[in-house]
Amino acid sequence: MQCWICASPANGTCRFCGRAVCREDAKTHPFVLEVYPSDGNLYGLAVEDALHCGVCKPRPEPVLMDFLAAPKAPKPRKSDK
Amino acid sequence: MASNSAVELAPPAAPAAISVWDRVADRASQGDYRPSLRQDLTWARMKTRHGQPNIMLADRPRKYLRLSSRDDQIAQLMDGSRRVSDLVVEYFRRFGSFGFRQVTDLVTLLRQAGFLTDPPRDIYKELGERLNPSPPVRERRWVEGSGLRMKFPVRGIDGLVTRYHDAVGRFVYTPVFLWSGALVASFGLLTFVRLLILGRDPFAPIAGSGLLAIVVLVIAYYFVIFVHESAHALTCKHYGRMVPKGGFMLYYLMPAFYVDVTDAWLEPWRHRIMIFWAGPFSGFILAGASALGASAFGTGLIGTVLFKLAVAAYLMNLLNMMPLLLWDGYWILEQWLEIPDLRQKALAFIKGPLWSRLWSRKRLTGRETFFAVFGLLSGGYSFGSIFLAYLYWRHRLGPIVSPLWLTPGLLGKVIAVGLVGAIGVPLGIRYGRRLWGYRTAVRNAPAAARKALFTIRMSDRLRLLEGLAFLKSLPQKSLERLAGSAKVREIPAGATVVRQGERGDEFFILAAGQAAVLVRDQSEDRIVGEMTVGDFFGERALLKSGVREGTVKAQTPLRLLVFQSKAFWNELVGPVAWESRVRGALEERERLRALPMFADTGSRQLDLLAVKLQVQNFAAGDVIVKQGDPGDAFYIVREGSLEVLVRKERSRRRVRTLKTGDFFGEIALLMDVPRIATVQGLDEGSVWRLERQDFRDLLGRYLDLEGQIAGVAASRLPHGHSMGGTN
Repeated sequence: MQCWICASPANGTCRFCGRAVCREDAKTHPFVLEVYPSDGNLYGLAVEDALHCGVCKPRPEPVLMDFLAAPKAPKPRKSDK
Repeated sequence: MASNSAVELAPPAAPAAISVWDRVADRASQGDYRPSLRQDLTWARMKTRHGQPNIMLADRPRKYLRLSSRDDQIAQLMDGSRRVSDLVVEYFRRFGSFGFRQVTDLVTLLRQAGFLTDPPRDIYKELGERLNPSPPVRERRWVEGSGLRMKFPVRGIDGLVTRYHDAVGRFVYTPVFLWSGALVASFGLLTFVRLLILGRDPFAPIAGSGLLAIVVLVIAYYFVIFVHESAHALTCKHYGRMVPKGGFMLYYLMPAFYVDVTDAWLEPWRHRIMIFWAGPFSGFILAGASALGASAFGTGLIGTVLFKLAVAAYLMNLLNMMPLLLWDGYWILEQWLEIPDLRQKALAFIKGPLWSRLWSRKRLTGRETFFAVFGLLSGGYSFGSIFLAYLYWRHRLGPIVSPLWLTPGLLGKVIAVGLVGAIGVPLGIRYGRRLWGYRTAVRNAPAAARKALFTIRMSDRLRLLEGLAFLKSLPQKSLERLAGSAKVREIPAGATVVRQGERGDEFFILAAGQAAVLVRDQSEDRIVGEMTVGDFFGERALLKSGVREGTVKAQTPLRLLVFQSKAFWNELVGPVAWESRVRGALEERERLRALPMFADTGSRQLDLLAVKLQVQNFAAGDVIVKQGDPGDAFYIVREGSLEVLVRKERSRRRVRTLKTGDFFGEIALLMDVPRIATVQGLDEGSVWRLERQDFRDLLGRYLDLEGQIAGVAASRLPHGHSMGGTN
């Protein structure tokens, strides 16, 4: 695989988008591996310097994904009982 | 663009089923961000002295932004219902040009300033901070600034100033009081001059004590400053503005007072000048009254004290009216001339451009002559003031330090050294650093010049060239040859790189620094854009010996990659017609640039746009869009002519003809709507086609909702401290 930026042999792939990059063009970026609730708080396992291609732009804010919510199931009618 | 609106007035079609991935793309797309302006902001729509719009938007008393009238119109549409892409299309409809950069810059600026309902947030930055916390910064609320400009603010004084204004304002701001004040100031000045001629000594002892005389003079000096700052605050309040804080400050270790009248930015220029003038005017009234009193009371105790008060008031307020340092006189002049950053511009002009103009024996314009005179006087006065400061401190400290030094024993000497050190060390550090910087710069200049020739590595040069869309088709080897042929040029801050109207045969890519693009408009240079790393200019010189369409000025030191037109084309000569391809791409850009709708589009944006626009040829009778078909692209007539036909019941009617530069289908950039007319060729020609997805991609490249404010906002932030009214 070749580097997305300079077309030389790539050394790794971006943790965020999958582009391949060589050592010279690689950047780092914090990355959240896992988040879990505990004691009423959210805790996470994180990497400080995950591989980043520098081309893609991880959105720095949470994105509302309300459209992924499961549609509400219709209430059973009395006659169905 | 009402001429084209007939094509787009169909009611929106029922939304088609959208996939989850389309929705994810929509949510992640910056172009779909819906900015919503906070409702609690303050607008001030004013005119400048020359009748130009002067619009301010403020989050009082925290932040103030200056907006253009176009910004104003677009900002008012930010109610959370419109996406950024809607705003760009609205900008296009209102002003007839694609304001990609203008709209995205405005949204970025407003968000970074916290003027939108959703403040910027960066979870990765927060995460980085949590993983690698920086050492805690001790918050010092009781002190602002440091070193030689240290302020001790008293916050929340607005209520106090309001009560003070309510108590005295009704008397002070009456015509009777103001005219009386002017008379007292005038007669007082004449009396003061007469007393000086008669030999009245400003340093005369009081009750036989020289020390008491100095103490009285110092007290008088602070009383004068207090009256001066009170006048600024009261006048600001008189115009209904806030005075959120004020306080005590050490300016070059000299105690003084200050008030924050930044809110005056929301007032018309006349009021701003009045707020600045209020301080010195109150000082002249006080000085005049004191001089008259000193004359009436003779050389007794009261007369001597009043005379000292007059001396302190005249000294302080005359110095304050000097426009060569950043005091009231300067701000009044700047407001009157309406040249923001006058001092900075004048000093930048005398640092470089003046000498190159003189060297090439070019005639200076009126404005340049003014900058030259003002800059030289300001520079000279600034250096002179350092010398005066030395004399001042020597005069003040000498009588105290000498006896202490001569006193037998170690304690006296330690106190003397401590006194000199307390004042001398900070001053020494400040000016020592500056001198050391000059010395180092001079010593390193030859090495820096040699290094500059090789500082832009080949990989960086290639990266810059790869960023140019009109070179997109070039193979790597040609790019490498081109990269090798470029020269590197260093430009100091403030210098002009190219001047509007001059001919040039060089093309430039910005490798480091920031530059402003200025266009002469009614003998005034107006900033029309800013350039950062990767931007380029002068590309017209590659096609012909191009006349520069604007002036490019270095805002910071620049490093440029420079291509001579001849060398550039030489590198592209070869078996494959790369030269004609690049020339074709450049000519295509020139065609686009000639259209009014791209008048506001910068070089780089135009470059990206040129790549996204597809050329679609047509012959007479060819249908470009068909009535009833879904629309997903916007068209601009490249050459030839087309007709717009509307079918009603069974008849078909031509509603208009489109020629080069006309456009249709802009609503398709935003949503799926069926075409309400058919557009077909009348003769042979071509259209440019921009698809919705490409339009959104372009927006995504410009919008930087999380980026730093610096580059974008520099020209829009009024220089807040300038209204600080400090002394």
